[in-house]
Amino acid sequence: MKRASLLKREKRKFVLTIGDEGAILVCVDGKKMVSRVFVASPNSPELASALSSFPEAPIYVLVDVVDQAYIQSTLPPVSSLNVSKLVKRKLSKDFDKTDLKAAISMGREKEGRKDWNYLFVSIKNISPFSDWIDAVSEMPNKFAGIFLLPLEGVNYLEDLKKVVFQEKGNKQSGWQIIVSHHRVGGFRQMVFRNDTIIFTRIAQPIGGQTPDVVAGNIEQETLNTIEYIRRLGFEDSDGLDLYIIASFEVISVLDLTSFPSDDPHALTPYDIAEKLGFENSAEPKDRFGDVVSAIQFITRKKHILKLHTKYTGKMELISKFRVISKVCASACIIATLVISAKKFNDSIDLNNKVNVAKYDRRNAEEKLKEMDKFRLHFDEEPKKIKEIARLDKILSKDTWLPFEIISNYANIHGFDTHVSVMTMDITENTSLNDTMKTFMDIEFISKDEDTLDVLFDNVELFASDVRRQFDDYKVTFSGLPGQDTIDPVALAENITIKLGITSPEDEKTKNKKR
Amino acid sequence: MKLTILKKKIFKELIIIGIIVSAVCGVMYYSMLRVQGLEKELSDFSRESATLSGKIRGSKAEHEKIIKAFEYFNKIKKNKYPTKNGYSSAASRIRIAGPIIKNLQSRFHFTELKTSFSKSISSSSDYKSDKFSIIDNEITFEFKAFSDELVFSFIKTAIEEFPGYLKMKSLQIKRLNDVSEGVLVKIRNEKEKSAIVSGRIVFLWKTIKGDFTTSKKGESSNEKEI
Repeated sequence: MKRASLLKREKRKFVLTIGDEGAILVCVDGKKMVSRVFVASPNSPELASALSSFPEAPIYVLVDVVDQAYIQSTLPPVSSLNVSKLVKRKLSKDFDKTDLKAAISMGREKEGRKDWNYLFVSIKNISPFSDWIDAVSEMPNKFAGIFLLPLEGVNYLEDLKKVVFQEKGNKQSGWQIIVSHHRVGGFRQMVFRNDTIIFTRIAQPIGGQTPDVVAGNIEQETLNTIEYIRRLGFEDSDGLDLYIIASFEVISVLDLTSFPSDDPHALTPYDIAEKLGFENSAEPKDRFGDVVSAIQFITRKKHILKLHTKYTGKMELISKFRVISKVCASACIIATLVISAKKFNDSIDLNNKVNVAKYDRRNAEEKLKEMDKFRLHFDEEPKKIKEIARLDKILSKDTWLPFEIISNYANIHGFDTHVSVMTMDITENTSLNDTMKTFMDIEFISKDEDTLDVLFDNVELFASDVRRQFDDYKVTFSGLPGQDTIDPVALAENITIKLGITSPEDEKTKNKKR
Repeated sequence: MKLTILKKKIFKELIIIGIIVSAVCGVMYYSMLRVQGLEKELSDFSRESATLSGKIRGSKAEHEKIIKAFEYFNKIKKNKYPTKNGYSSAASRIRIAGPIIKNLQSRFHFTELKTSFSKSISSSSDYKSDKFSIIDNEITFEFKAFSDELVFSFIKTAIEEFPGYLKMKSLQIKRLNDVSEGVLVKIRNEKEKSAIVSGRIVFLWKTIKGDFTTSKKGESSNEKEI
């Protein structure tokens, strides 16, 4: 038993083509055939043996039995949401409960009512078909689904066109027929109109297996089919592309001119395999087209329709759930690991920062200890020194002394005066500047020749000089003589005026020199 | 049946996935807790460092103040320093001031100098000091001098030479005589004590009282009791 390694995903696939005459199991790796075996019955040991050789490879069932129905139907022009209800109802009403059934949308009519066109397909899920399904679904291999060979024939037709167009570059006709001689089924005929499957039939060979007989059977069946499609609207003028797949011996004796086809093609399985690049898929002497059609089917990424029985459907769900849960778990684990890695990185970074912070703190503590030692070393003294300095500043604060007043007064010249009395009073203020009040009794000495007017003028001039010298101070005069009050007798002596000088309250004299 | 086997398989797988996811989530949770713990530790350390930095800054500022105070202190005249009893008693104040006043009288040729001392009081509350107290009293000088200039020089010198702090509170100068030849002759004549000015000066004398010693080299302690 070969298992794919844990890390390597299994690329091989099995295709089991089930017909009424048995089944063919093909193992494909990409476009290369790995093995093929004819299995007569579901219980054949070859089936289990072949499948167990690659238990990780999924198995696709391709149905080529006669008992499959294809019914084209139109549905009323309801909305796209409601048409699915109509389809469901029709499927449950027109088909058996046990049938495998589905409907494929063929689009809407372009004109008129714009009805919905649907193709209803069904297979009878009864023995021997159901026996095959039961046998295969119990194999260890993953069950990939049930596919209808005629329905998938649309893709086959597309590839066959590539084969023949490569050869001759023919133009496309309105109708196409594929007739393929199959080991498990007989002559599978698939009719297409504008690349859409119209109907299919399968016929058993009659009268032997010699090339002439087989060729004759093919010709007859094909002509019958062509006649049938005339009832469906085929006319010679529409054009008909015909593809006959049979052995070399058969196509050698086939009379292609008997068909009302502009472009009939007779191909061997080997021709098709070669043209489509299917490695190891066919020998020149191969007679049947089962293997080639199976390989063509599996090489396509997208299929037309996948069916499941209830049982296989459950397994499919479980498989999907397994995949989804693994994907989600992986995503969750990856995300968690990424976050953990980031957090781990952050923790390393933080750890470094914590160490640096510890180091800084230790340094700061030591520095603080040193500073405390400095203060302790001086004990009480620094506080006392600071206090003395503070007190000294307050007590040494500039205060008023008479020197400046005297000095300013001395600058007043040109007057015959003398100060008979000077008083100065200073009021202390610990928080603000001290205030000062000075009074001077100033005698104006009159000369005999001085008239009263001269004396008054002198006093006035003196007063203005004083105000000028003491412009930062508040200056007051009292006892200034008025003419009407002067005593002529007193005039013979001297005039005494009282000058008052008070320290200002503004900022000007705060920093005055004493 | 294959379906049963599949169900068992998926159940086992889910358990394994659950264990792995739990383990990984556990690792993540542990990492997150660790990071949280480290962040808290870092925050605590940062806070402590900030507190210590603040204390260091405060200490530095305090040191700078101390250094500045020491610089200022070195400039203060020694006769301003505090004394243990701050000359708090009147007797001690008179004892200190006496010789100085006598010297001043002689230097500035005061013909007459009467000195009176008021009671010394403590005026500490004005200065908000818990280590020292300020003792002050008034000294009143009534004088007769030859000139007002001598009076002013007397004032200036007294302020410099008195220990502690001397502040002038009031001054009164009266002219007694004019500076005439007659007066000058009289003054020269030592038989008559004459003066041109008379007056009165009131000083406020403040001294600092407190227990204080310096530990500086070369400086003697000013603990001397008078």
